Amino acid sequence: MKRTYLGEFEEVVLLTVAVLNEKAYGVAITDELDRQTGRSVSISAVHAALSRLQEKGMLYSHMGDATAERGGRRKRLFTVTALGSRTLHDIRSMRDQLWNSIEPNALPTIGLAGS
Amino acid sequence: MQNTPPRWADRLLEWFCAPHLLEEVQGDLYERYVRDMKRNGVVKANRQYWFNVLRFIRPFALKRQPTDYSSPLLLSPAMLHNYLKIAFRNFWRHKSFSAINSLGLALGLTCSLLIFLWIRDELRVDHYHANGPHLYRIMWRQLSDGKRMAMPETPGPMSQEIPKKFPEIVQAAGFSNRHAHLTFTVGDKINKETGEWAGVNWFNLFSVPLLSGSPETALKAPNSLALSRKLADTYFGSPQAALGKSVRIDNKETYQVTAVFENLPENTSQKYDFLLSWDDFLKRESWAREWGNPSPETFLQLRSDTDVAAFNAKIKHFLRSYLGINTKNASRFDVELFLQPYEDMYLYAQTDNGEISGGRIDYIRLLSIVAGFLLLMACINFMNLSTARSANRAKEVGIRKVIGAERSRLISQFIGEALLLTFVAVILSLVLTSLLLPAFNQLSNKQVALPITEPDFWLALLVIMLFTGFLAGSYPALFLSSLQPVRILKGIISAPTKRSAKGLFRQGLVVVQFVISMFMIIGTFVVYRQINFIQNKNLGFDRENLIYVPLEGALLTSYPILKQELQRMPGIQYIARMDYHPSRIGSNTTWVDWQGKDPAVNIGFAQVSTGYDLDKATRMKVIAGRYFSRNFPTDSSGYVINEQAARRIGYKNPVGQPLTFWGKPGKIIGVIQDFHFQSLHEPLKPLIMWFGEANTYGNLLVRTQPGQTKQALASLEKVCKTLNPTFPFSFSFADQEYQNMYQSELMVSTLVNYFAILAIFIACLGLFGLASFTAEQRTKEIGVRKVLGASVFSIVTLLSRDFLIVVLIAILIASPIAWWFLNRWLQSYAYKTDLNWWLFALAGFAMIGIALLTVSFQSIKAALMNPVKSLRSE
Repeated sequence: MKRTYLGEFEEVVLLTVAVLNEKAYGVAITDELDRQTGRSVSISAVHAALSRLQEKGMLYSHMGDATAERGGRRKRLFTVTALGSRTLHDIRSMRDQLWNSIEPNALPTIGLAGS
Repeated sequence: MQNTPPRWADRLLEWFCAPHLLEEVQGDLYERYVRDMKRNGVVKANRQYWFNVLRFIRPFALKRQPTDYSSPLLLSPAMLHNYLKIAFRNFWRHKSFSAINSLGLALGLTCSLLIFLWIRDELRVDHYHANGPHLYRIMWRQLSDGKRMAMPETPGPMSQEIPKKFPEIVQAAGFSNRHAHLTFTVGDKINKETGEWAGVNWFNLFSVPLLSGSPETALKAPNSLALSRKLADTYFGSPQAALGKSVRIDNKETYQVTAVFENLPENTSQKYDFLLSWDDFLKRESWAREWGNPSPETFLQLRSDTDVAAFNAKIKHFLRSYLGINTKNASRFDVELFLQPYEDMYLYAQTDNGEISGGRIDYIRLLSIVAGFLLLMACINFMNLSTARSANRAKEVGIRKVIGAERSRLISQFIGEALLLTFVAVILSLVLTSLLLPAFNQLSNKQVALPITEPDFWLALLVIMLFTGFLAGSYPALFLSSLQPVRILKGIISAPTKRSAKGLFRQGLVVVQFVISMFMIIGTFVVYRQINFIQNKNLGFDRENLIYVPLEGALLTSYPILKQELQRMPGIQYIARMDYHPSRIGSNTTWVDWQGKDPAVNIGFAQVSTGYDLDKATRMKVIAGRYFSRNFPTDSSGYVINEQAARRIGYKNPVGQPLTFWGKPGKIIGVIQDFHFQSLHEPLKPLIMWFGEANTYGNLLVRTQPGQTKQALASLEKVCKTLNPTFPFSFSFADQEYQNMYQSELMVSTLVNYFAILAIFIACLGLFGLASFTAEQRTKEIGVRKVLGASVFSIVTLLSRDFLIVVLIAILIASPIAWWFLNRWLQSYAYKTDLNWWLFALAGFAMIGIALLTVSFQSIKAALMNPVKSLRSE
């Protein structure tokens, strides 16, 4: 099945938006990424990815409310669209399918099997 | 909130970030900033903030969101179309203004372009050798007689000796540098050719490609001969055919062609059509083998890792041991060596007080300044006329602003118009330049062409165009865009008057133009007078009706017969011989002794050998004693000296006193009036003439009957041909030879002349434009004045007065500056005209006259206008 291509970073950002559910905006996503994956990324990189995802129709956004620490500026809050959701599912099922087709013992075992 | 992020970072972000993204981006960055500040403190947070902002400089943040209502200025075809249309309408409506603007700019650009081409060509001379940056010429600095003097001449054995002593030297070669005219005989072809002698390494040192033969053997054998492609083609048909053939030179010796080199490119300062070996040079010029007789030049290549300053220090006293100089006697006479980079040789050929002082580089500087000035003047015209016209455009600016044009758009509109006009001017100047190039080449003795195939040239042209466009368009653009729409549309803003700041600015610009013009007029006057002074200077000998013939071949030995024969021929008055031309005696010696000579001083004497009758042939004046005479056989061991020499030697009555020259004792038999035997840049030097009627080298000096030059030349050719059939007859006129000494002065003065005329023309164009504008602005005022009874004269005075004041101010500013610069220029001559006050007055009057003439055309026209016409139009 043909689907829109997602880069790895875009995929992670899209997932993070889903994780943050309704509270996803630039800084929050950056922090969440840092916390969950240990990746320290710049705000501009996240913004770039968000704007690309929005152009691809995987994200929907609206302006939220302002806070004092933002100098009275509003946040742009992101939510995953149906297309985004389907793309994420597609990627997941494709991965699962691939995992399932790997013969047992085909991959070399690594250290502690349980991790 | 007491702590806010760095203001400049914020400004930057606000400037580059797309408006629709700005709020969220800035908000996020603020939020992050607050966190950073809590964690790491203000300093780190500030740095991090800058860092974060800079990271946003990427396409997604820069890209503006398209909307239906606002469109970027330059990308909107409709606006562009409108701008162009308005621009063209304006050009068309004010044809004379546009013509003056673009013509002025085009002329300025053409001059700069020509000068640019000339400078480019000058800077490229000698820059084509692969070893170029490591090539040097050895210079000889002589300290004697309390004077320091530097020259490129070095002892003949230097090029072979010095590489043995210093490992830094890769290779070295001597070069005779005497433009020898030798007679080539191959079969029945006999011609005079110009060439030099050079060291064995010549073709390894310099990138002169060989068409046949190898660089190693080209100049190795003593009788080897390297020919240019041109000579090889003339004598043997092809470079390959020439190899191994023999050429008889001066009907004396035979040389083998060992190599053929490619014709030297135009941009080379050392010109030769053939090269002979260094062994041959030392054989012919045995005196050049002496270390104390510097004559040829020495070139060398240093290893690329050599520290040149340190090497200079090492070779400084190299010659002391060869010349018998030690620390004791060094104060009397000392010689130091130093290096001059080969690539500087052409532009920095002059020396002053033992240091390299300049040369053609001065002309390059002068002309670049001239080019800059001309361009500046053209730009000023443009600025002036556009601002003056601003009243006409003010309404347009007002309407545009009301409709919503921002200031930046107006600025770019006007700069764009300036660029458009500049573009037209550039095209015009390219056409003009290509038309003028042949004449310019002839004038400057060059072969430059428009380098239309080189991208650099177009790039430079583009840069010049943008620069000129921005410079010319900046003031009108800034001024016009600053107008307030309400005031304009209410009609409050009128044209800037002469008392307003704008008017003063414009007049200031005109002053600058006229200062430049005035400067150039005075400069042209003074240069012309100096050149005239040189031309008409009484040199102490009469250079009219004097012909030089080089003595060569059979003539060398048959001088007595030649003289006898010639004196019987028509048209010829006197015959004499001399080993140089009387205006070019360069040979120097300090080996002169006399009674009571102070051993501590070492005076350099010029020396020349002369034959009988030289005084009559050159019409020199003998002021004491006599010239060499046949009636006194002892004269052959006597000496004739000039006044300078008499003064330096110090005898009270020099005639009859002993003098030892080159170790040969003799008596002073006469004192001759000082004559200029060197360029007028040089002061007169002491000169010793020794008797050389029987010498076997030199020149024939022929004084012809006035008005019978033709017969004299015919007689000369006939006699020379009979006595010396294997040599082509050659001669030169003394006055022409003299002129040739000042060729570069003449060339530059002609160039500057033309440019001065152009500068005045450009300035007048601007003045003309301004005057017509003023007349137009004051049409009503003039009408009212006329109705009330003003005379034509008073109105013309009224209109011209303002401009006259401007020109007067310019004259006052320019005169002292010009005086200072020209005085400095004249210092380079030992003999010069003086800077008279009337020169300045004359230039000032010329300037005023030209300005008045320009202005009066417009003011008389305005004054003569029927007031009914001008007043009715309300």
